[in-house]
Amino acid sequence: MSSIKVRHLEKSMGPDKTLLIKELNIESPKVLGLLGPNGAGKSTILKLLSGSVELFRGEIEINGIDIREDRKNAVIGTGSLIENPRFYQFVSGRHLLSFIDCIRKGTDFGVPEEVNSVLEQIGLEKKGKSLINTYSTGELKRLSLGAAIIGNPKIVLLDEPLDNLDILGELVLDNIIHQISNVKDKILIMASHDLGLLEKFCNEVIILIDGKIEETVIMDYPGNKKIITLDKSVQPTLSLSKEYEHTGSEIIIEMSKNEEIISVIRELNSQGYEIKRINDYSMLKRKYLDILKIKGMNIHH
Amino acid sequence: MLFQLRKITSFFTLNFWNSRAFFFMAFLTILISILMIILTFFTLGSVIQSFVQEGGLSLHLPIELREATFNFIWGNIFIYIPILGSAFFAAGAISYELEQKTIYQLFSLPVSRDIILIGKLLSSFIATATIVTIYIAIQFVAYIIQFQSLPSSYFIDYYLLALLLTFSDVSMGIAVSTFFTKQSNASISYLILYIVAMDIVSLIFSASNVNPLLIKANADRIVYRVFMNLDPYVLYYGGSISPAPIFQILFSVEILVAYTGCFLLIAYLMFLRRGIVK
Repeated sequence: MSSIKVRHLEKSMGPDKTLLIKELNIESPKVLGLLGPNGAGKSTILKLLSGSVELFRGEIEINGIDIREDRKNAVIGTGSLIENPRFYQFVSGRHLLSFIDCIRKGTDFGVPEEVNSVLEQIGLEKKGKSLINTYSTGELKRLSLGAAIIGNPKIVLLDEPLDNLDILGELVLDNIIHQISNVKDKILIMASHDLGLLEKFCNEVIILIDGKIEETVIMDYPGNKKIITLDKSVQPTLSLSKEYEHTGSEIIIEMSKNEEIISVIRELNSQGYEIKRINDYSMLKRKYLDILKIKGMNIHH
Repeated sequence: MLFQLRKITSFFTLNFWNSRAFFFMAFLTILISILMIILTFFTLGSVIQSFVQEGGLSLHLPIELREATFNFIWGNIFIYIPILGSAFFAAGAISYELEQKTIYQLFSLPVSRDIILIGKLLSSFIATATIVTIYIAIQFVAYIIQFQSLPSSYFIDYYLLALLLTFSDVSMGIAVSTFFTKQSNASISYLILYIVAMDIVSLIFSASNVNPLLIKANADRIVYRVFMNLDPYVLYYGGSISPAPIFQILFSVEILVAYTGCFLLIAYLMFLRRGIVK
């Protein structure tokens, strides 16, 4: 089993900005998302957990090992992708992955086979032999993902994994996340602005504002809610056969399994409403926007 | 630990060897060597003539002095090769990591920062020493062609001092590199520090009757003084067409080692700090 324990963590993020986490316990299996506006502390948390930043107050334990006391052994089973690195331009992708794998394992044994397997997984088997300065931005990002997962780390930290990925890259990322989430002793932590990605894969999402955890959202919502945007504000006289909530010109309505939305549309049309669009309801988005609103950070549009 | 050091050193050395900077430096070195061949093959006689006339010596020079002059002139130009090599490789070694944000990947690996720094130092040294060796190898071959014989044992001293000088320059480059988050800024600052700042301090030392050999840039010149104890830049210790005496060589070596130690200490402290503040 893999675990991360954080207690009374304090890390300065610049003038008047401090990351403060009282307590955070993460145990495998877990896919955890970090969500928050720019500068909320998402990347800082990942840098601290990866062991690449050492000056902080408080305690971080990875698999029971205090990162400050024994950084090397604490991070031995951790792979990370942080800050979209450009990497070393004059070695091949294969060479980079071999280097990282050798350092993580402490041996050359089995490295070529593992590198082949990761190159295949990230779709760079052919490109693997080329120097990194010939890679496109998307290929570079896929290589970064490969660098994060090579050596089969039990804890994987990904900072904005969707950035610069094309459709192929997104499929690679999907596969990687699926593989990690299917293993019982692994933890995946992703910092992202992409709510769709977090909703799709995460068991929990931590919402960070100004360096503090505002809320931890458990992503176990099984329903099938829709948001219907109408051409005008919803009147109190509107009567539907299903229960609904409304704000302004939006209706939130829960559909049961196999139920067609068309019946609701017909009811709305019969009462003089035109449908502008229909979207899946995002509980995460709603909570996130509510928090931003409470914090005075919402944008009127 | 040795395994990790070997891996880190070989990885970064390969990155240097494949880089455009390395090919550019190698090209420049070969170009400089060709110019030196032209200078010493076709104009050595007149160079020596002007050289010895300043010293008021006879033109009927013994062959040993002609050979020493040949190596002295090559050594005089050699001084700039490790400076440029270090500006390209060492001064960018850490700043590149910060600029390209690869430092987080590097620091998250299960390896101590000390090993990473030593690996960076060694790889920069190997890359610069390769360039240095190209120049000295061409000098060696040019010597054999010119004089139809192997150079004297001083040539070995020259090569060893050249490597020490290279290591010292690389250490300085690494130390400068830890202060910057942009490779170009680090390289330019290194060159300014070396070429401008040290010369000014050297002048201040000379004016204050302090031994200017305490400045690294002056101590570096021991490399060509193994052939003739002359220095066109610093005449503090007096000149002689004989090789520098052993005590002067040892003094300069001590100065270079002391500077190297200081640069490495600065690099170590700054490198650790780099890892903890960002």
